[in-house]
Amino acid sequence: MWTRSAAESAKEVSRVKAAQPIAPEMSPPMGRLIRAVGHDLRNKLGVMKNSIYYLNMRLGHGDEKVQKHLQIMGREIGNANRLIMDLMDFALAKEPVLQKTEIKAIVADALSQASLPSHWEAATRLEDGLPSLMADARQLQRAFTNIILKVVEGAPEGGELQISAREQDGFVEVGFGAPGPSTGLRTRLIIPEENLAEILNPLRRGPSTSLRTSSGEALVSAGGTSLGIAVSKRLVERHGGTIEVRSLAGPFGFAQDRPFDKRRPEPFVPGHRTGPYGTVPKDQGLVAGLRTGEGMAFTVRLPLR
Amino acid sequence: MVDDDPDGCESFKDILEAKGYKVGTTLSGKAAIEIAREHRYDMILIDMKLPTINGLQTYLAVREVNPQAVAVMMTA
Repeated sequence: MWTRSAAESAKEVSRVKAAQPIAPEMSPPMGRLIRAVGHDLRNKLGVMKNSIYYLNMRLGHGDEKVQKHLQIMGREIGNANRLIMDLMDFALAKEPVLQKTEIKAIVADALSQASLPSHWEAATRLEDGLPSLMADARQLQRAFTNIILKVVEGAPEGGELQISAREQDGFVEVGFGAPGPSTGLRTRLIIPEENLAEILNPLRRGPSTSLRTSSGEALVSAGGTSLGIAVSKRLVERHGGTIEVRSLAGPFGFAQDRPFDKRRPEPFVPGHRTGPYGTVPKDQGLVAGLRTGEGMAFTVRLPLR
Repeated sequence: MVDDDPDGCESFKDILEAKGYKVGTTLSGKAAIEIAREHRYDMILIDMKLPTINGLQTYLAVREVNPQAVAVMMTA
């Protein structure tokens, strides 16, 4: 739920009506249908969120299991809400409303919206004296939030999310990544370099469908689509910017043919190397291990104007 | 509280009542305008998307008869 003055709301309505579909393959009626259904679904989720809020007031300090399940419900409602917003943004994005905007504030908002899991820490390195942007802060915040979530999704073990920003040749360049420590092992999903572009495509299932067994089955059955990143790409492009993804794995990325256990990730075994298309039993997942500097990194370039 | 979704009304009502507020609910803008003529409210929460008389129209009409009320417009 958000609130605003009636006059602002009236403008909002007219802007929504004027919005055009940004998915070229999607007809305007289909875009409007998706937005209408999305709106109604978000209303329902809002009611559910209210009920959870009420139950928390009444039961939140009681049984530990009750608390846990209320948290799970709240989290899943948040995830569903985000997915619907991605779908709505993808189907019929509004034109950016350009205003003087500070990149530091957008990064802070995006981090807040992403709600990093407890085993993650954020380290921001934003150049001093960054110029203001003429941008739609809400749209860029959505774009950055989705990128952060994608980086986090690619590294289930957790770690340090690094966000940097600098001025470069008339652009503000914002980097997102989660490199591992200088020593030791982090578990990361490996996306082969040749398949990285897929990350920016919508409707690609899960973070790792490019990882397949020799018989063609996906190694990790993760849910979701890449809609979030596709939306990020389009929102950034609407600002005249670009978004790039690259693998930090380099030529040394490899996958271990070991069962995947989220609770106890397998340790790295030096010399045990099967390549990203390694043979993993159909009913097991995958731990993708890299030595250092692994994972995905995103770079967003936004023009100064 | 004006919302055509009864569950939406109830969920807000229970929360606000638990916090000590007196809350009235109605499912339509037309009914809200009628009620506002007879009662004074400190705050009116209005769903933007209402059938027949939408949230903005409801707000404008309620403001005429309850000018002291703070209006909060809600939307998904």
